[in-house]
Parts: sequence; structure tokens; C-alpha cells
Amino acid sequence: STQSTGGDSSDESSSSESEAEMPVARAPVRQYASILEESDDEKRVVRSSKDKRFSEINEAIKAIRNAKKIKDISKVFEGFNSLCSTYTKSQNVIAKNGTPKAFIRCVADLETFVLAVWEDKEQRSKLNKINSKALGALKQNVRKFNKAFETDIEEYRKNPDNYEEVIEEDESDNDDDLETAKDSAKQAKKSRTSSSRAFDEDDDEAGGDGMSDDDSDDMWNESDDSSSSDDEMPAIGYTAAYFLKKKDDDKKERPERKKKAPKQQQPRTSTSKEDEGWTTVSGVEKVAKEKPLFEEGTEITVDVVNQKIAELSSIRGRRGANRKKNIETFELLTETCYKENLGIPVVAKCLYYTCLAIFDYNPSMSACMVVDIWVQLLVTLDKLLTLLEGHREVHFVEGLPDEEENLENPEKPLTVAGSILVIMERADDEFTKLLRNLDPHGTEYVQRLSDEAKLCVVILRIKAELATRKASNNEMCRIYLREIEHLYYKVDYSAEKGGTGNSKAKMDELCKFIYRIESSDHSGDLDRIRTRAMLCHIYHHALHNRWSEARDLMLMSHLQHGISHADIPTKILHNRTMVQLGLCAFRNGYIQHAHTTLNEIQSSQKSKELLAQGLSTQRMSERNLEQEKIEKQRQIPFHMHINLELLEYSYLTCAMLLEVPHMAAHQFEQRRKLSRTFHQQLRNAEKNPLIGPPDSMREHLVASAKAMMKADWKTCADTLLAHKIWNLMPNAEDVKAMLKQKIKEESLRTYMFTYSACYDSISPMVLSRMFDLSNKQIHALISKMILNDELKASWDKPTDLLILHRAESSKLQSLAKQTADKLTHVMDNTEKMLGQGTTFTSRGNAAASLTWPNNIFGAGNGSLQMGFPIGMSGDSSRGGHRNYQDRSRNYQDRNRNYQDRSNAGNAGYNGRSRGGYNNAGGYNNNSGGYNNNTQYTSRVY
Amino acid sequence: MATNQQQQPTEDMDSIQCVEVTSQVIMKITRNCQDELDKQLDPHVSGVLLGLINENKRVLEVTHCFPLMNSDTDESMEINREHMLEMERSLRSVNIDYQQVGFYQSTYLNTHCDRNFLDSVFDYLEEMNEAIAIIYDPLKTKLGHLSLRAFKLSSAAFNLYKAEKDFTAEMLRDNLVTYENLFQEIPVVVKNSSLTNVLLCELGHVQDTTSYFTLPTSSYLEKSMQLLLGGLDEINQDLLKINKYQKSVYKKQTDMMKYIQDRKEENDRMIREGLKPLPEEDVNELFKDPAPVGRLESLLSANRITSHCDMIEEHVKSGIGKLYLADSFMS
Repeated sequence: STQSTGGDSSDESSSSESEAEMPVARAPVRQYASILEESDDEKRVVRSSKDKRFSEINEAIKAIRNAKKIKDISKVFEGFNSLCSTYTKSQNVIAKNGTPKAFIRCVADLETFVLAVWEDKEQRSKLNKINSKALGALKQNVRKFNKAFETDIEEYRKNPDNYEEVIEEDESDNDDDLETAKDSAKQAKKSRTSSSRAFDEDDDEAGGDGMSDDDSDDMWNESDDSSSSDDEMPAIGYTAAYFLKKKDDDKKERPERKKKAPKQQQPRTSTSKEDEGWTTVSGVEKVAKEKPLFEEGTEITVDVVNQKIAELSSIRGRRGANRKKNIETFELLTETCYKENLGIPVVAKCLYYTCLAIFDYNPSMSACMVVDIWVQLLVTLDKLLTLLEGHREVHFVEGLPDEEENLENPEKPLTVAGSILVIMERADDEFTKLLRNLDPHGTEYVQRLSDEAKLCVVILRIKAELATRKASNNEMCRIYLREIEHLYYKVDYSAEKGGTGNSKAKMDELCKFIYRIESSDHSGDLDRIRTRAMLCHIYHHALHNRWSEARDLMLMSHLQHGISHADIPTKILHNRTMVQLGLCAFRNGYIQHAHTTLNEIQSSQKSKELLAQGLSTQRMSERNLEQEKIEKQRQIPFHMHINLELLEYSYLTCAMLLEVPHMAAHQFEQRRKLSRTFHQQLRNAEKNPLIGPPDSMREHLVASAKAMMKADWKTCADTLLAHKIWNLMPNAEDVKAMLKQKIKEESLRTYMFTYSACYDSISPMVLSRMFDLSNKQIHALISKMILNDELKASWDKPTDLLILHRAESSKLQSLAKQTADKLTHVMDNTEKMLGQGTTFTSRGNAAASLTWPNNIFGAGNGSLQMGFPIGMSGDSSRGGHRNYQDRSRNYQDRNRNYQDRSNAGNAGYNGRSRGGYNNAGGYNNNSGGYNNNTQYTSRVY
Repeated sequence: MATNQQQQPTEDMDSIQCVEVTSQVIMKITRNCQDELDKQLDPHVSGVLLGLINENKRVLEVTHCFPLMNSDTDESMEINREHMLEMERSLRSVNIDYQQVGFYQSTYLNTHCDRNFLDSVFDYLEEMNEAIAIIYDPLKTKLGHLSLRAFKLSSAAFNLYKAEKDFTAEMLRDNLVTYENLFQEIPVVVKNSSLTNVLLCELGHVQDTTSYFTLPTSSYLEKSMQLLLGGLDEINQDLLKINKYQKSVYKKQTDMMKYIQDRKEENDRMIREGLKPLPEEDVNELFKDPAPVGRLESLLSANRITSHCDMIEEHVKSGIGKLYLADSFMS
């Protein structure tokens, strides 16, 4: 079924939906009949912006007029305001086409009307408060507004006839679209006759004038012209149905009349105001203008249809082609084929091409389909599918050349070129695109989302169909993957309540089917399908809290090795899966795993992009429009999103649980940090001059981290768990309990790191009371710390005490450590300097320069190594040093050689680099000395 | 009896080979330093050395010295100068050697080697060819090792410094100056009169030998390590500077090449079109060389680090020997 594109009112779209659904239920025969009927009545009008604006103006005018009738001044005022705003909106259209006469007439009439009411004192006093107020305002506004059109209004007053009927015709045209979508032609005709009568009674303006008719004709044909000129394409065959539709002769004559001077009197089509614009349909007459699909008298055969299809598809994608029209043509063709009993393959082919024409409706791949068109697509696909289900002997063969098709010969297998799978895949993609472009918080989104069920049904049917037809592995995998992708992100609530785990079994079955397929041809396509299926499988596991399954699958599949070579959508899916896996680990209390899994996504600050869930704003300036467009095309529809806030909070909580004890353990070492993001949050919080009670998510986190630093587990847990975002977490209560336990444990660890120095011994009982942990847990935790060398302590069994040992490094030892660090820095810098030297000079003397850093590095290393094992004897380290010096001489010689050859500019540079090199000598000497020292200290203490 | 065993090869045979110091001078220096240290004033003590050059033996004999005030401010410098003149006059009148042959300076863990020291050495050398600087380490002396070391600027470094106060890398390379041969150490010999020797012999009988077995203190090592760390920091910073410089030079080079290339193409085009080509020689004006990094500071810090390392090595060496000794005693 086809709908007009003209009216976009929700009313209409819903009606179209219901219509779209209807044929599914019907038997195919009747279905086609209905299609023909519909496409017959309906003459689609592609409206330009001009028409749209004008019709808006007309609507406003109508509203005013209606309100005037019932003397509702406030309504009139409203209408006037809307008219004004529409007028200003359509400025540029009006500038091109001139002020519409109906508009002039309306404002002029309005002025007279207002004045009349104003004059009529008696009536005015009767008005209620709102109306009288509106009247005053209206009077002023109208006068002001009308100043701009003084000349026009004057002209109108002089010659009101010129301004006749304009609206009426326009309206009828407008409503035509609306009407056709709903009413049959017959109904429309009835209403027309009645309404025209009503009009005559109602409006006493003279209508017979030739002039006025001309005007009206021009006015309303203008909008038609654009479409009707395109309509010259053949649209309908000489079928019985076609002739049935012909009602008046004059309608048929109409195009002729238009081409000549249109002087002929024509029964006026009009609307009555009381009718609220359900007006005549003049659509039928346009049928006449179109050339028939086939020449009259042509015997319609398969070949003819084939030719026609070839002809039509050859204009596909051309600039001038009317895409909307193409769809209709194909539909008609289908109908004709059906009528002529040309056989199922031909019908199938026609339907197939209809789908293609629908895809062509969009000029570019990036733009999203109109909803109606998509629905139409789904319906067509459905029809095709029903047809195929009924006729298993017909096969679609992908990549078959047209000549080899077998549409009629029943002896051979009946084949049609094309692939229903491809159509389905594109329909699915278009659906995603459609959702992406909708406002995810609107009701429309939900409405569209309900279409997914239909789509899924189609997918399932195609799957069954392909299975019975023994499609290739590749095709089967593709259809399976589609099903998986519609399933994997959905939470199975029945399973959660202890149900049978329906979707798990389903997922397993689907994925295992894909895993089982051997990729014999090693095509990248199948690999990609498998990768995606695997990711979806893991995602599904993780979503349902099956951590070990998800993790095992992820680790055993070695997905992470190859993922960097995958295409971007797969990478996005991988990112999503990793995030879901991390969240799953978090829910199950594997904090370390959760942290490492989430760290990569969170530390980049680009989680939105990585998960394709919108673009982060602050980086907007860094990407150009083109990139932005591409990124937008990758976005995942809203209902599949992972809650980023929850993700961030979970991640930061993990980071806190790990980082706070770590910080306490390594107070004096600034360099090692587990999570930079977490530290950033802490630093940001420190910048605040005043710290109030926590409000935002991050404030909650910082506050609880601060509490944990003081080993105050209670405050920490309370603050952290107070945030309501945890409610979004599945099994929120379990997770909270888990977190509380973890906080206790980590607080204990923090406490031990921070304050163990203050104790000589401590009783586990005290700790148990402090941290609300059982004695056993305390024992386990502390023993673990002792084992990991984090705590220098031992248990004293008889007294049941923890005895702490003190073993702080002496100052000299820490100094020696620092020296070692510094030396590495110096070495790094020296290497960097020399490395730069090579890149710079390699132009001149590649061979020599390539060997420099190695040499030097080797020398440096050598002396280090020599210095270390026998570092005690000063002579040996000196030896290393000498050795180094010798090499430095070598280097100098080489340098000189090079200098002779190189130009002056480079030479100066080389000298410089050698200056630095001398320093390296100094450094080396030191290393000898330093090693002596460490050796010594380690012996003494 | 402190002498430095390390013989540095001297370049020219004309210069002195050895410094002879009388014990009186040593006593005076020690006294001066000790006094200042006791007063907890600035441990940097300096004074003037007087003596004679024995041309035949190529020996510099230091026979007398007197202290100077710290010359931080202009005022104190003025006073010092007057004091020096006064002393010179007085000494001449009592017929003591009055020729200035250098200066002495105390040091704290070999930190003396800085810009000021270099300047002073240079000034004295300019006045007198064979001037030396004696470095006295009171801390080491306190540990029982008299430390007196005589230095002069090596002739290559002297010439360099004369020409250019801030060394550039090319100059260092061309003159083969490294951190090691920036200063030249001259062996110091203590020469005593016979009377003093007799006294020393008598004192030798009452020497306490147990003090040799004390282990080196860790505080000494700690301080040395800290200084070493400071030196490393300086070196590191210097390296960063050089890295930066290298980058800017590289950038300049590429910019220049690009400019020349562009200009050349432009000129080719203009010649083809029959126009007068643009001049090509303004390249060097357009692209200024980035200011080269002065090498002097890093030379000095490298020198300092070396001396720290030597010191630590020496200090620890004796300690390790003692440890082994103790170890064998124990077992």
C-alpha cells in the first residue's frame, strides 16, 4: 500500500500503519486487488516548499474564517497571530511567487470584520472579557499589519472578484492528499457534490466568472504541474480496474484543457467550512494524464514484463527519475503480472524490484528513510516472503545474470536473479538508521521500536525459508547473525526470575550454529560473522551475569588478538562487549578484573565515541564536519545503549577500591598510579574552595575515597552507596552488599598500610571490631598481606596478636635508590640526545650514524655491568670507564671523518652532539661510583 | 702527610711539576679554617699564598700565607684588597717572601668547583703564569686524613677561557678539553725544616693507632650522595637543554631547506616567465641560529661529580678493607 507523503500528521501515519498491516493477514489474491485499488485512487503530490507554505497560510485563513462565523474573537485573534507567523516564515516563498491572493482577501476581510464588530456597540458590550480584550488587540494588530499590504487591499476592495476562490481550490488540492489516503474515490465524489452545494449556499460570492476560474485553475495547477509532469510516466495498464475508476469524462479531458487556454467551465470543487475541510478528491483525473504501463493492445507476456523491468531499472538512480513514482510503477506492474497470470516467478521478480525501488527512494545512503516508506518496504518484503513460502519451486539466486533467469519454463528450476537476504539486511540496516534519527525520548521512538518485532518475525521467516531451501553456509550465517544481533542486548527477565533461561538457550543455539560452520573458503566475511556472533554471545553472557562463561569465551576465542584489524562496527561491538564484561565482573565482585577491563575505555575520555553512543562535546572542535558525519552514522540506537554514568561510577568505584590502599602503601612514590582518571577526580576535587555535601556522582566518589583514606569504612560505604544510580544496576542489592564487604576489606588494608607504623602489636579482635569483619576474615586478609610482602608482621599464636616488625630502609639506602633513578633518567636523556643526532645526521653518513647509539649504549651498559658485580674495587669500574673513553675516541675520530665530508651546517651540529657525549662520559664514571656504593651498603646493613 | 699519588701528565715542560708547602703554611690554613668552622660561619675560607718559584727544580715553594675575608660584597673586596697591599708591605719589611703565588680555599665535600673558583683561578693565572689554588678539606682532615690539593687551570682551558667565557661545544672539541682535564692537579709535597722533623719524630711515639680501625661514618656518605644527586640533577637539566637545542636546530635546518627549495622553485618559475629572480642570500638572516647551550656549567658539574665519585670510592675502599679484616677476625 502506498501513502501520500503530503500529510505528515500522526493521524495519517497511524492510519497508514494499520493499512500496512492489513494485507499481511489477507490471502494474496485479495491483497493485490486492494493494492491496485489504492494506487489507483491515490495520486501522489510531491509538494514543494511553496505549496507547503501556502497550504499553511490557507489553513490559518480557514481557521480565521471559521472563527469569524461563530464570532469567537479570541479564536480569530489566535488565527490571525498564526497567520502572521506563517506569513513571516514563508517570506522567501512569497517573494518568489507574490502574495497569495487569498491571503490579501483574508486580511482585508478581517479588517472590515473587526471594524464592524468594533462599531457595533451593542454587540461589543455583549462580548465576554476575553473576547473584548482580544478584540482590542486584534484591531490594533490588524491595522498595523495591514499597512504593509495597503495597495493590495485597495485593489481587492475595488475588484473583489479577482480574489475569488483561490483558497477553495487550494484547499481541495491539499485535502486531496489527505483524502485519498483514507477514502475511496466514490466517497470522495459524493462528498464533493454535497460540499459544492454547501459552498454555494454558504458563500454568496459569484462563481461563474471566467476570470476567476482561470485564476483558480492556475493557482491550483501550479502545485500539480510539478508532479503531474513527472506523472507522464506510465502508471497503469488498461485493465478492467482502470476503467472502473473512470467516473467523469470531463476529468479525462482535463489535461487537454489545461494545455490549451483553460476556458472551459468546470464544476467547482470546493469545500464547505462546516466540513472542516474534508473535500473533494480530484485525484482520479490525474490518472488520465499518465501514459499506460503498456501500449494499448500489447499482449502482456513475461518477456514484455521483463523488458519493462529492465527499462525501469535502467533509469534507477538517475537524476530526473521520480523515485516515488518508480515505486508505484513497480507495484502496478506486480499487480498487472498477477492479473495476467504470468506466473509466480515474475510476480516475485516484480516484488523484488519494488523493494529495490523503495531503497532507491532515498537519494543517499546516509540519509534515513521516511517511516512510511520503511513500513511499505516491510510490507512488500512480507508479501514477497509469503509468495515464496507458498511456492518453494521458485528460487532467488544471487549474482545470476539476467539472461539466465528462468521465469516461465516449468521444466527447469525456476530462478530469479537477486537475493531476498540482501533485501532483508538492508531493511534491517534502514531500521537501525531510522531509530538513530529519532528522538529517543519521544513516543514515536517507542512506536517504531514496536516494529522491531515485525522485523524479527520477517527475519525468522526468512531463516526458516533459507533453511528449507538449503541455502549456503554463508547465507545461513548471515541470517543467524541478524537474529543474534536483535537478541544479544536484550535482558531476559524471565531467566532472571529463575525461569528457564530462554534467551540463553536460544543464544547458545544460534551462536553454536555459526561456530560450527567451517570457514572452508577462509573468506573474511565469515570470519567477521563469527567474530560478531562471538562478541554478541559474550555480551549476552555478561549481561546476564554469567561471568565465568563470558570470560572463558572471551579468553579462549583469542578475540583480542585480531580485533585491531577488524572493521569499525565490529570494534565498537567489541568495546561494548568489553564494557559489559567489565560491568559483569564488577557485579560479581571481581574488582581487579573489572578495573582492567574498564580502564582502557574510561581512561581515554572518549568512551562515548568508543561505544558509539554520541559524541563528546568538548572534542567537537577537533573533528571536522566530515568526520562528525561519519561518526554519526556509526551511532548505536538509543535502546541498545549502555548507561555511561553507571559505567563511569562502577569504574571509579573499582579504581577507588584498588587505588586507595595502593596509595597508602606507596605514599612516597608518586610515579606509580593505577588509574589516572581516579587521580584526576581527586585533584579536581581539591581545587574546590568549599566542599559541601556530595551531590553529583563524582562528588560522592571523592567523598567516599576521602573517607576510605582515613579507613573510615562506614562513611565510605554510606556515601558511595547513597547515590541513586546504583538502582540502575541489575541486582542492585547484591551489588551493594558486595561493595560494602569490599569497602570493609580495603579499608582494613588501608588502615594497616597507613597506621601499622604506630603499632608494635595489634589484636585481631580490635580490628574485627573496627571493621565489622569476622576474626577469620581479618586473619585471612592480614595473612595475605604478610605473604605478599606488603606488611612486615607476624602472628603470635599464644597471645593471638599481630606483631609488627619494623624494617625501614636507611637514609643511605633510599638515597642510593634515588641515585639509581636519576641515573636512568640521565641515561634516557643521553640516549635521546644521541638518537636525535642520528636522525639528523643520517642523511650524510648513514652507516656510521646507525652504529653510534648501539656503540654508545653498549659501552654504557658494559661499564654498568662491569661495575656491578665487582663494583667494590674501584679499579675495575675505572676499567670500564677507560673502555668507554676509548670508544669515545673512536667516536671522535669518526665524527671528524664525517665532518670532513659533511657540509658546514651539519658540522656545527655534530660538534654539539659530542659535547653532550662528553657528559655521558661523566655519567658513566658515576655509575661506577654508584655501584660501589650500593654494593657496600647492601653488605653493611 | 698528605700527598696525592695521582700523577697528571703535564703538557709543557716549562711549568712547575710539584708544589712544596711548608708545614707552617699548612698549620696556618688549618687554623684559619678551624677557627671559622668553630664560629659556625661560612665554611668557605680563603686566603693568599705567598712563595717563590724555583725555576731550576720546576717547583713552586709556598712559604707563607694569610687569610682573607669572604669577598661577597664590593665593600669586603675593597677591604681585602687593602689588606693584601698592607700585608705585602709588612711582609716585605720583615723580609719574608711576598710574591703571591696563588690562593687557598676550604671545601665542603669537594663542592668548591664552581664558576667563582674558575674565575679566581683564572685571575691569578693571568697575573702570574704559575699561580695555583690549594684546596683544603677540613672534614677529611677531621677524619684523620689531611687533604691538601693543588690545582691550576690546564693551559688549553686557560686559553679557551681567555677567548670566551662561555664554552661552546666546538671549542671544547677543538681544544680537546673535557671535564677531566679542565683543571690540572699538581702534586703537593710537604717540606719541613729539620727542626720540625725532629719534633715530628718525637710526636710519633705517642700516636694512638686504634683510630685506624674506625669504620667510615654513614653520615659522610649520605652527604656525599646528596651532593652527587644534586650534580646528577644539573647534568640532567643540561641534557634536557641540549635536547631542546637539538630540536630547534633541526627545525631551523628543515625550515631553511624548505625555504630554499621554495625560493628556488619560485625563481625557476620567474625565470621562465622572464622576470628577475629574487635574491637568494637572505636565508641566514631569516633563520637565526638558536642560542647554543653553554658548556661550562656542565663541565664544572661533571668535574664535581667526578670528584664526588672519587671521594666516595676512596672513602668506601678503606671501609671495605676494614670489613674484610673484621670478617676474617670473626671467623
